[in-house]
Amino acid sequence: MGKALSGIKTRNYLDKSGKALGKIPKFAEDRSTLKDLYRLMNLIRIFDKKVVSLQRTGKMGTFATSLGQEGVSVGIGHALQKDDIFVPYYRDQGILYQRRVKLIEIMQYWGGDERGSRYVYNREDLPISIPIATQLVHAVGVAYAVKLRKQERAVLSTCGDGGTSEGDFYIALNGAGTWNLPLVFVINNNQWAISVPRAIQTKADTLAQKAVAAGIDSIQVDGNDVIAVRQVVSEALAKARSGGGPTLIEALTYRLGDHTTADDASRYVDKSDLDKAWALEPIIRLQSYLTKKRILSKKEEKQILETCKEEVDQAVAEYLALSPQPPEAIFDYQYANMPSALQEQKDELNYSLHPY
Amino acid sequence: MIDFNLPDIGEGLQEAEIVKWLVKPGDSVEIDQVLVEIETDKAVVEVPSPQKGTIAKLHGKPGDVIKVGNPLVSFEAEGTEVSAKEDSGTVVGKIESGSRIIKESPTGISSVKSASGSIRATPAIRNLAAKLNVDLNQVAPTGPGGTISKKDVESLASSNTTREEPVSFSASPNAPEGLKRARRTMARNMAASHSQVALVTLMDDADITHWSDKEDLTARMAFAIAAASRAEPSLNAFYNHENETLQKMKEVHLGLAVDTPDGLYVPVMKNVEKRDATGIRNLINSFKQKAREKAFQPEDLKGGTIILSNYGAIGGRYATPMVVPPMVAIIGVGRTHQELALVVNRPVVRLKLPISLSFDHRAATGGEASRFLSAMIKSLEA
Repeated sequence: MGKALSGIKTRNYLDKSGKALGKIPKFAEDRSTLKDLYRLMNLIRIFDKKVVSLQRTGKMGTFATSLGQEGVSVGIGHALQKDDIFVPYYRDQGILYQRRVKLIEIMQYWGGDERGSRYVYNREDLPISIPIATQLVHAVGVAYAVKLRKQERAVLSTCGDGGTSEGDFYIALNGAGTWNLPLVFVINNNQWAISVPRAIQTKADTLAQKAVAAGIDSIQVDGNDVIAVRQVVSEALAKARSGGGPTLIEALTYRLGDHTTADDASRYVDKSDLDKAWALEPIIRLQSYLTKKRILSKKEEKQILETCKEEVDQAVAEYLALSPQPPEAIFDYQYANMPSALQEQKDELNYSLHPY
Repeated sequence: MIDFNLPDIGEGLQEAEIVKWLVKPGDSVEIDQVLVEIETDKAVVEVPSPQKGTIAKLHGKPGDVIKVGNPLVSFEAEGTEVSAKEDSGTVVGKIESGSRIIKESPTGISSVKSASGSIRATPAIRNLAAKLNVDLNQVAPTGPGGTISKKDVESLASSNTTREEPVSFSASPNAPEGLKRARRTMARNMAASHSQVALVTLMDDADITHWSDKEDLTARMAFAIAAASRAEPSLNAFYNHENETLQKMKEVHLGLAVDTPDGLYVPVMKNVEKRDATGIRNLINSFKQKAREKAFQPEDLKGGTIILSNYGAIGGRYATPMVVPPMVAIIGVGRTHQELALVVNRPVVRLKLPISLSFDHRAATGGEASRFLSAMIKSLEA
């Protein structure tokens, strides 16, 4: 066992059964906001499921779902303001969607079409990052720029629990603290780094405590409580915007699906652990609360699910209708001015594809 | 019927095994309804239906292995909701069939290099060839526009080993047979030789009347070639036509043409210049055994600097053996024969060993070849 540090707090507003533990945050008093959060989590779950089907039928590349972690990404996405800057990892469809990244763009990315990273309605957020934790260092650079320009904006970046073992994670924490940057890091601790369980990922009791050495604030939040995620992230963003410095947030969830479509979690996840985790998942949690409070009727719920499905189906139809990129497009989206070595390779490819 | 082909549902998946069918022919299925559980080398996954429709046929039973791109399920043609286009079983999206993207050379697949003999291969292919120790000069290109493809390199690399692939034969006795590996290598090497080498063959006889019955012909030939290589180094050499360089070899690594039912193998006797007759004989015997047992290792077949073909052991007097680039020469030995000769005006019977020396006239002059042949004959007649 690692040494437990005092001072790492865990926030939640709803208990396991979806009952309010005390006073709920002000934003959560608005019924339509709560319904919207519920809709968004369902939309992402339906989207994820559909994209896996596309992958299984040969129409999509490797894909990472956020099954069971919709509360984290939907909560963060809801808390971010338009002028903030988001630097994603790869399980953030719930955030990206609220950042006006189109579902088709997310599908294009995972389908190997680089045009998907050129968000039509969002020119400042960064593209999805597959390398582990590198995005956190990029976020430090972005936040530094924001500070240099004296802008009132916050930068938020995400990673998984596995990412916190990377050198880049510590570099980013240190940089954020040293320069007191307007930066919020959120760890989506879903307990698994592919097949490595959280318990053997680090000797530290919490991932949040890793911020202590960097001298920055940190907090844990129940990631299955979307209200808590929304609130904790909002507070951290407000602090960042007003010059209060960076925050590390550890959102506690459980990965209910495979790591990606190239994985089979049934080979290493204990069935009883998984069953327990299903009882805690974020959609049921909020649904119970909404039902108890008579905010959501059965009819409304059905309607929400139907419109979500329609929206996803529409996006999928558009995605499937896209014409594919030519092979040489793999060279085209990295550099404004292509280096000569890369240009040479592109010419070689062009030559082998079109010798005459 | 509309086929749904097994897609690559992993990352570079080749095949998958059917674990359990969840539908049967005649079933109506909805889009995304699970059809089958399959096991890849990484995972057991459920494959959903790509469309709404009626199942016409299941291609395989539990335990069967399906290759990516081959049909998994067929649907009845009518009542389909999505496009009736055949699924091509690709990784991502709708990748159209090759015609638009990859243009075939107008003359079809070119089997030999262009007249200049220049190699057309991408850096990745050149890199692969270097890794697999494949000489691109020896690869007959089948890619578009006479380019060398990955497959060309890999098949030559694997043909350098003796492992046999099963070849399926059609029922008719006259059906064309796919060439097995050794024969395929021969075909490619010979095509490359014919398209490149400026071949000249020089023929003469060595008088071996004085040889005892115990004389070992192959060992004597090996010594003669080693002696000739010392006397005239330009033929035991590599010629690189791309750089126009000639690399004369100090060591003589003698390739021995071995005829087997599976085709031609050329195991290499390393450093014959340093070996004695017993050493050479032992090596020849081990090659013979390996040929019988199909046990040649890749390293047995690599590194030759010059070749000896003792076709005369079967039959034939003179020949025009083919030089295998980048080597410069090959020596053929014909069947020994008796000849009536005049010695001091008296007819005597002499035993003659016919020698045919082929060389690449790009790399060696006629004079050098003549000196080489003379040196061989001198050694054989000693």
